[in-house]
Amino acid sequence: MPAIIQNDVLVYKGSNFFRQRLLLSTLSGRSVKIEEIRSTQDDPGLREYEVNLIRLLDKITNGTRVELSETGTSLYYQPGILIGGQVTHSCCPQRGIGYYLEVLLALGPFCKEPLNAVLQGVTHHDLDVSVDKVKAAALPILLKFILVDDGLELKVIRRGAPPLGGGEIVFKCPVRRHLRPLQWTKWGLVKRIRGVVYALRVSPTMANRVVDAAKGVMLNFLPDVYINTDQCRGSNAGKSPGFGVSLVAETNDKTFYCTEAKSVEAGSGDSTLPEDLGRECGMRLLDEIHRGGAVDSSFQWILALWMALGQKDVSECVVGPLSEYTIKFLQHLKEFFGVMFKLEVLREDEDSDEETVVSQKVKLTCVGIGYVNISKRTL
Amino acid sequence: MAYFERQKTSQNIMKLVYGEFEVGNKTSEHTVESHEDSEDEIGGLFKKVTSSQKSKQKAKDQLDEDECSFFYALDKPVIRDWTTETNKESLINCFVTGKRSS
Repeated sequence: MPAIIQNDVLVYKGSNFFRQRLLLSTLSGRSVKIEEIRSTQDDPGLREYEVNLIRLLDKITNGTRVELSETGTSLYYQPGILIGGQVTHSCCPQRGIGYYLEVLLALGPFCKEPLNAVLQGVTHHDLDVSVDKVKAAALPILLKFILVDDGLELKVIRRGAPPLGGGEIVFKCPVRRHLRPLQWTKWGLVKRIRGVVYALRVSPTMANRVVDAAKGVMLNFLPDVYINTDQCRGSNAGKSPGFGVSLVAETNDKTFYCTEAKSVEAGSGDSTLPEDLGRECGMRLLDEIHRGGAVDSSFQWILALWMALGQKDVSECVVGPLSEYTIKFLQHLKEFFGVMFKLEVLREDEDSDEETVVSQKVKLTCVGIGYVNISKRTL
Repeated sequence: MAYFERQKTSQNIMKLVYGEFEVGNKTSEHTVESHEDSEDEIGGLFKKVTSSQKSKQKAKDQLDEDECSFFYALDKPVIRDWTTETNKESLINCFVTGKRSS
């Protein structure tokens, strides 16, 4: 639903894409107002995890003003200046750390001080990218934009499964005055598969069974498969039992696809077979590889963001089919920054005679708006 | 599943993404619902759902969904079994071990 502008404030409705809106508001400096947040539901208003996100944004900015209505169904957000620096934040266990980490990752390069964030909470969640995935697939994308890696780091100190969490990570991000434009239209062929299986407060054999199943799927295609197991002990294993897997496929052009699967929450009644889990994750990875593109489908939006905020030059990337989330993000980008991408569907007609299923590739082209990080100190 | 439907129909992806956004941001709600009279009624009882109504309904449904950045966000489709022979054929060329097409 497009925004309505009232006195230079963007007015939105509904709780969906809350994170996108606050993120873009913070970067663009434009105030947003979000109305009718879950107003028709039995439990109206903002959820705890969303309020928690506002807190986090408040910590890394200076001068942010937030007004919440009494019922919590409407919110006015006036962004401050991005500061960054040392932050410790305990994330709401309703969502994974990934929910918050993605925001920090998107804002990181534009802070005044290099970001050094300690996040505590649920490291693996069904709705959010896990910390392993961010590390494996998102950091290489940022690296393409900043070229020099001076202190880009994500360390998983403790893992924590839902519902109680207890995980901890450290995220460090360097600051940049501006991002480079990026041309990224080739992604090559998958050359190796890596993975991590973690087992928290469950029998270590679970991890090995997951490894076997996942490997069984991937070995159909490639011999270079290596999956690590991470047996966490004591406090490193968080507060809840659970296990899961993340698989990473690396191409010879440094594109990383990553997919994950995890066991169902303890206490929900269902149980997960490790074999099913490994196989499922393998299948998802194959599906991701099939869709292709220069970046993992979960991070298309972050690629679009950095392309749009680049120097005044042409950026060009080819990604797989756009996800619903990315489409919404592109719309939001247009509303906040006035950036419109040129989108083209590429079709490879080389082997059209076979009835093979070819996924649609989309070429994103845009001219950066020349966003400059004015807070960054220059020597 | 939304994506496969979309893939079939999306001739113009620009329009799919930006669609109603072409003319810039709206400043206020000014579109007045045109009165659909009985010409759209089927059998004098039912009204045909127009595509604009459909998309409006969809937008309404999405309003308060949980935010999720995954490709298959909240719907968990059954993923094609890539290990069967025919599917494997089509996928193997994404790997270095596949046969060279050049």
